[in-house]
Amino acid sequence: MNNLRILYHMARADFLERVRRYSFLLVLAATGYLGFAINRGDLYLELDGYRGVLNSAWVGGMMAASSVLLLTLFGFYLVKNTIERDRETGVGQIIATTPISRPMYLLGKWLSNTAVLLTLIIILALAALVMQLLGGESSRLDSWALLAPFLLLALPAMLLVAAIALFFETISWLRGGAGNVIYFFVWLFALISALESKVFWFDWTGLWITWQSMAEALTKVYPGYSGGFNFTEQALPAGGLLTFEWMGIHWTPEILLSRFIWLIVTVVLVLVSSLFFRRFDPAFEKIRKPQKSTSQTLDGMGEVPTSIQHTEHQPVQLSVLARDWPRFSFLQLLAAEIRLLLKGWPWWWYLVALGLVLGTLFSPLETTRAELLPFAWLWPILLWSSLGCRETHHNTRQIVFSTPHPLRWQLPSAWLAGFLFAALMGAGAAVRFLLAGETLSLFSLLAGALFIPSLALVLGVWIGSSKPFEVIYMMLWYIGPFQKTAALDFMGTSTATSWPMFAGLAVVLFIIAVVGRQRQLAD
Amino acid sequence: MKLTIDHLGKQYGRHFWGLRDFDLELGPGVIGLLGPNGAGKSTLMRMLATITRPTEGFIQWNGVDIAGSPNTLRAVLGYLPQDFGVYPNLSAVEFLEYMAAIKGIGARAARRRIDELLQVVNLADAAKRPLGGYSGGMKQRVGIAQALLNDPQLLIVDEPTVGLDPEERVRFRNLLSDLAGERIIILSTHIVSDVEATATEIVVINKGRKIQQAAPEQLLKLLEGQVWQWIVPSPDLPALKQTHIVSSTLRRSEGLLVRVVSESAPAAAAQAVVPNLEDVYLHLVSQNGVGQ
Repeated sequence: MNNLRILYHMARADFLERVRRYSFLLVLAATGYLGFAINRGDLYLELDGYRGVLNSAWVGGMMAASSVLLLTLFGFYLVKNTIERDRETGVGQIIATTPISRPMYLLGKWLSNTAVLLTLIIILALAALVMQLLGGESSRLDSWALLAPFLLLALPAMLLVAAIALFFETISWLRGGAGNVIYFFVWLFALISALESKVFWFDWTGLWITWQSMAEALTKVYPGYSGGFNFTEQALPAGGLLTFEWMGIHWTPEILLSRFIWLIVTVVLVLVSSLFFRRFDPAFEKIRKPQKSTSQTLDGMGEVPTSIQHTEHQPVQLSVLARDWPRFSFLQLLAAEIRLLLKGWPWWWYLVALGLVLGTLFSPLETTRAELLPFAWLWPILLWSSLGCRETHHNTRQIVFSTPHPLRWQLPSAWLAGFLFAALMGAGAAVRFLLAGETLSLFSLLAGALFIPSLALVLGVWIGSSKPFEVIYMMLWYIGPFQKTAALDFMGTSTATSWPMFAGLAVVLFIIAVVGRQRQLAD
Repeated sequence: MKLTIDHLGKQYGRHFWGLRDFDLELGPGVIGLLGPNGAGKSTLMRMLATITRPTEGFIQWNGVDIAGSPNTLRAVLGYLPQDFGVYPNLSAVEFLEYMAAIKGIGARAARRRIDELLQVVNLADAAKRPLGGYSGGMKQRVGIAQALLNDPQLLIVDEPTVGLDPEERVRFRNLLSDLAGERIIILSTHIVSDVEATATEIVVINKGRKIQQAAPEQLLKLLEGQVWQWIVPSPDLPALKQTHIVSSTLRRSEGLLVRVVSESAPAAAAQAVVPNLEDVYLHLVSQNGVGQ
């Protein structure tokens, strides 16, 4: 009973701390908008030109599938900060001194993560209800058919995502930006694998179970159905989609058991996380550069006099600075910004970066363009993501913002440092394009190099965190340059015609970043 | 060199004023800003350091309104915030070089200055190590060094001795005294002994308002003949605290040696003693009511 009380209070305090933040209101608004967009038909589920009649089963199944698809990705980033917050606020140090066990602490945090995600699921479930009532295609409200996909598919998936987020937070090298990048690829791989394996035991999201059930009902009415299953925002075809009646998933004991197994996996994951959780012990905190000397005193001062009285005071005479400053040297400031950007990476990080630049220089032109350049511009993602939010993250805002002309000098030099690194990573490709006489590709490369630091800067300044850039850039990178979607291809790997748009965007984003910084300076 | 603060106020939310109707005129010297936690010291410091804008009133540096042209002051400002961070992957030298660059100090002058300052704050031996491995006190000393980088005419230090060990505290107090001259130093703290050692003028602030401004000697005169000391049995202390301002207690074999601020002798055995700034501060703050 006592343990349950501890769990309740752990989860409650953490949940309240999160939902009382302004940013959570924005998340609620975005989720509400998603429900609205699905209701309006801006985003819909179609099976190769067919859709279900808007009955309880279809709206529930569709909305649950939408929420699983989006929240297994974005939900992770939303909740992956619960331990970090305790670390940053110092509350963790206090918690570490209480008798609470590591599994109990993590279970509480897991419940809080789940509660946050569940709040969003409830909003979407309500949107499904509204959708059926407004759709007017089925007047019979079947609450089980409407809610079962949320309860049996979305909920276990959210519990799992809540646990994965916790696991990432307990592993030091997955805690930061690297974890954000890795999760994106893990999520993509796991999602595709689950759908392609066609085995419901592996279907951690429940999407394949939903799809199969819908396809089965559809094939009975339209045997010509070819097997597609898409969430799309594209305009409806002329005449709309053909409809069929789907009465919902037939919840066999095997399906229920598979969902239950995922629940067990989730609990095991939370317990495994507790093995890696170090109770905020600073000795286990990630330090990029280990200290070479451990023989010095804690303050690193060597011998400290035992008595203050023994310390003789000799008046300090500081040299007088000529009063001809501030006389900014942009190059000096740029060099300092570049050093700040490049400091602290392990040697192998630079080696990979160098390898990518050389690879783009010496590989066949098409390999450079389509394969190596995208990776060369993915590798420094964590370097760029510090732009604009570094002052907030490291709490240097007060000392940086009280220097002369922080807007005129510091911000542009930070941006330029980011641009120069993008240019450096694209240098090999640039040489190849130049030698091949591909002027348009060169322009695309330049536009991409301008766009990346601008995007990082605007998100960093306005949101104050590196996470949004890491998530948005990765998605852009995957859909655009990697999957060759022309409209989002800011590197010009598939088409070199979008460069004016990205060059223009770079300018607009930089201006918005300047406005954001101006706002910060004006308090 | 003159800093003028006129009817300064800062409002947070709709109903709470962190600072209100604050007037001050300062010239060269060390000005100790004393006040209990939440008195409004940091709010004042942040406005002076151009971090936040006043809701009402104005601050002038040599006649120029700093809300309208903050860079006039920033060029000659050194600021050590109460709560600040550093970039953990840079060494102290690299961090100070970065700060010198954004303060607009030339590379050569910065290099010389950084070497001097690292000696002054006793960090020369650790100068090449990443700041992420520094202790709290060492980071505080890096903060002090960055504030002095540009040879500031106005140096604002907010609770500068927090996290410093006793030796470093003494060293820092001496440093402030040595630096005082043709510059204005504003030292904000709630540790009276820090101010006592260095300040040429003291401003006491409580509940967002100035309640006293005077030289330390003048402040001490306020309580001449009003501070008493005598030994009381330990169980009597709670009752004494109910009726008098007890500024200190020391345990003795016969009981507790108490120090009390009172206009008249509080007990037959009480003997008048020379007041110190701790007595004055407690007296002023208690007269004005406890902190917010």
